Amino acid sequence: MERAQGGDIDTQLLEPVLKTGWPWFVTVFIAGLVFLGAIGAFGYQLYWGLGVWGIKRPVFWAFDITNFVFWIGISHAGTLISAILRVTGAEWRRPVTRCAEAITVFALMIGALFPIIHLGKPWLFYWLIPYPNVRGLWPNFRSPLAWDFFAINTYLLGSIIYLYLPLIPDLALLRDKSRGKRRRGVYALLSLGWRGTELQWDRLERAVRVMAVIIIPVAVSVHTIVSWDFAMAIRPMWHSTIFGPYFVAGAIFSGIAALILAMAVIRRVFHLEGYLRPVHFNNLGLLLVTMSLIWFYFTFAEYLTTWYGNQPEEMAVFLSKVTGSYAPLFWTMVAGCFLIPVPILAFKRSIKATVIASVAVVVGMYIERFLIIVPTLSHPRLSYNWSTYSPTWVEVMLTIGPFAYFVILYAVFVKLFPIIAVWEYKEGLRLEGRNLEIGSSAAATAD
Amino acid sequence: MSKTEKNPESIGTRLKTAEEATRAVEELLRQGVPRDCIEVQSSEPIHFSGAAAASHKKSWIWLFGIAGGIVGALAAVLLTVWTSRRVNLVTGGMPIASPWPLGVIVFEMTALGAILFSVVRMIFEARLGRRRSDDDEAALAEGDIVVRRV
Amino acid sequence: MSTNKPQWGMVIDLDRCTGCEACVVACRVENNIPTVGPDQASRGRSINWIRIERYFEGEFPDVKVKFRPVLCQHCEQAPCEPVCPVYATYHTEEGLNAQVYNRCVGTRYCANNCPYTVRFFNFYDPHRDAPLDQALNPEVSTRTRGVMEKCTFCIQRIRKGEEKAKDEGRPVRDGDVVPACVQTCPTHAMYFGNLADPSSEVSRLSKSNRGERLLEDLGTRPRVIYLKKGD
Repeated sequence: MERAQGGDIDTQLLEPVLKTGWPWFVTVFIAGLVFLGAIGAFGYQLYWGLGVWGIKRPVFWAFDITNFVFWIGISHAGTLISAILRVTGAEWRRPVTRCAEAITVFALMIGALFPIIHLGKPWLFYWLIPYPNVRGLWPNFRSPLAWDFFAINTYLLGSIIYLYLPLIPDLALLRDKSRGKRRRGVYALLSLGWRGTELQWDRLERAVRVMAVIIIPVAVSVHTIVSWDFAMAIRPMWHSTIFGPYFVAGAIFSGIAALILAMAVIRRVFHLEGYLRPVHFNNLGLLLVTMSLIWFYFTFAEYLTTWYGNQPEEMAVFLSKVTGSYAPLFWTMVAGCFLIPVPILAFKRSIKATVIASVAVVVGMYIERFLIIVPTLSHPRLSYNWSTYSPTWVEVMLTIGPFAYFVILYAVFVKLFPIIAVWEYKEGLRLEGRNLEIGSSAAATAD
Repeated sequence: MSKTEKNPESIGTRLKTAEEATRAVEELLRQGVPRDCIEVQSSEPIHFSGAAAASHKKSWIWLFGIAGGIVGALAAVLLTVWTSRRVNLVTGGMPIASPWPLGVIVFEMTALGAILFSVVRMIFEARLGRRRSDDDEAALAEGDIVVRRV
Repeated sequence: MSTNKPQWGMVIDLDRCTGCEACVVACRVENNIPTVGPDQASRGRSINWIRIERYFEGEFPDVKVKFRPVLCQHCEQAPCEPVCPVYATYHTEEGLNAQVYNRCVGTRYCANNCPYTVRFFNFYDPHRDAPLDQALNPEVSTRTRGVMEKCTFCIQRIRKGEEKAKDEGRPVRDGDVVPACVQTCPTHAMYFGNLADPSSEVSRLSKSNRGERLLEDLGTRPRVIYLKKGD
């Protein structure tokens, strides 16, 4: 699809920020209602207790931790695209980076809520923060949950910084282009007085490179540590060394799918067809099918070794997933994560094809998180205690609500900042050798 | 203070393309202006090459990053080992302060320290966060390049 | 163990256990364990610090029933302890797995890591219909919602026994401390005492060739020994 003829790049990329149509308000309103519903559900839970959920003995974790792992997994979108592609110098990343980095920050913010939401006493969550206190007690650093605290907060801070640094020049652009004193004032503050001198560009690019290099191992460590919430426990089909790499691969997998979906929506809604082009979806689709194959490899290895080992306590969990009461979910997951995306993406990576594949992947990966947690917990070693699980409306609201919250956060972000990094995009055009005039008067030509 | 702030009277020339800017810089150099007295402002990074190539002072962001990592690691070791020993409760027969679980925390805080120190150094080196002089704001907003002598 | 503190342990003779569940009742009375009502019980929320696990073997008419009282094993290397992020559960010097109710924030990780499924969570605030609210044991704290609980080897009775021995200026003797379940068992299938005292009954019985520990191959080193020879 061709870019809009005759418009200039700045106008097109800044339009969502400077102008708002009624669909934006409707979207935020509806998402806001759903989000308020989730807050209400949480309030209900705070008042009555975790009994309003479906969890029980022995299934002490279910949707709370499923959601936690799912959202932290989604947060790996930004890092892969932005950091790895930056480090390897892949030029096609330019219109995609900020979109991806924003997903990371918001997905992390949402994911980090769930360890608080799932507590029996959520108002005491701050006891996990290491600070000197009158109780004379510190967190137990041996616990994987304490590791989660450090990992997620480091990644969150790192992602916010990694989103913010390349945003500074665009904030300066908005400062210079906004009308309205208050708006200009806010952008002026946020852009830290950016002047666009050679020195500043040099230092910014260095810092972004340093950040990209640091954030990659941090991202890998974060989902590894989240996986260790399960792998460190001696439960059948949890206590597996594969969990670290398995979760990281799964996170990148679901993250790319989420990124494709977000990009497709933004492209349509904000008329960015000239910027988010089929080549981007094609490349992300290639990454997605690669990750699908990797996911399949890990899953197959995990299940084959379990089945072959034939340990009774593991087989109980295995059979419940493959042929038992969780089988419908299990095979839906396999379809969503592998059987549907691979044939589609192997042959066709148009925007429509990648979007369909991505929806299947997101659904499949969500089910995968659930299936890691609940079947194992339903089948403890002492079989007298086996049980089943089903959710209540409170857990359903707490699952849906964060999606609405994500929509709101993203909608607000797109309203405040350009979703495509203007300077980075224009730099890419110039490096491609287009001999364009620098800046806003550059015509946005068709590809 | 940046050189522009010291000399707010200097007016910049607005140019439209990187080629024009290169020629302007080369002209100033021919007039005998030292390279670090030529300031180029642009709305996207331009890396001049050849005679007009910029000569920045060496950047120490990487060094601060490493230093931040070391500080973070030390802080993590202190925090975890000292507090674990102070609480001194046995859990699961594990040692009170073992390098492996505490090492996870050390890893994260190393990264955190590296991030924070790098960013702070970058802000300092780029002279961000200071009051801006009255640049020609419209120039960059319209995508022009400003070359001035400071 | 390089301490002269008593090392508490329990021996349960499965050849004597009839599965009558008197121990279950005694435990809940002694430890203020709330009843949750039939609806919540059907949702898997009932709390039984000690329970009788019942397994059927074979088909009619060759059916055999096996009873095993399962309670917190107070593992020497308890998997539940290191995973608690707030130190709400830890190992005491007397070999007990302690649960600190007012430190627990309710992450429920300990319960997920317990291979014996002996940890219980208060999903709601306990509600006691009259006159059960008049029958609380003042020596045991009640728990609020959001908190994990489990068998403590009747730590209140342990403390009492130790204090009495201290007042009398002597070490704790075998028979000073009797948890509620041990006290109530009609067939005397349960024994409790100091495993570090070679003259105690549990010490003697723990060396029996009928002795085994539950899920011993996991390496948790439980302090509950089951005696079983008969079928």
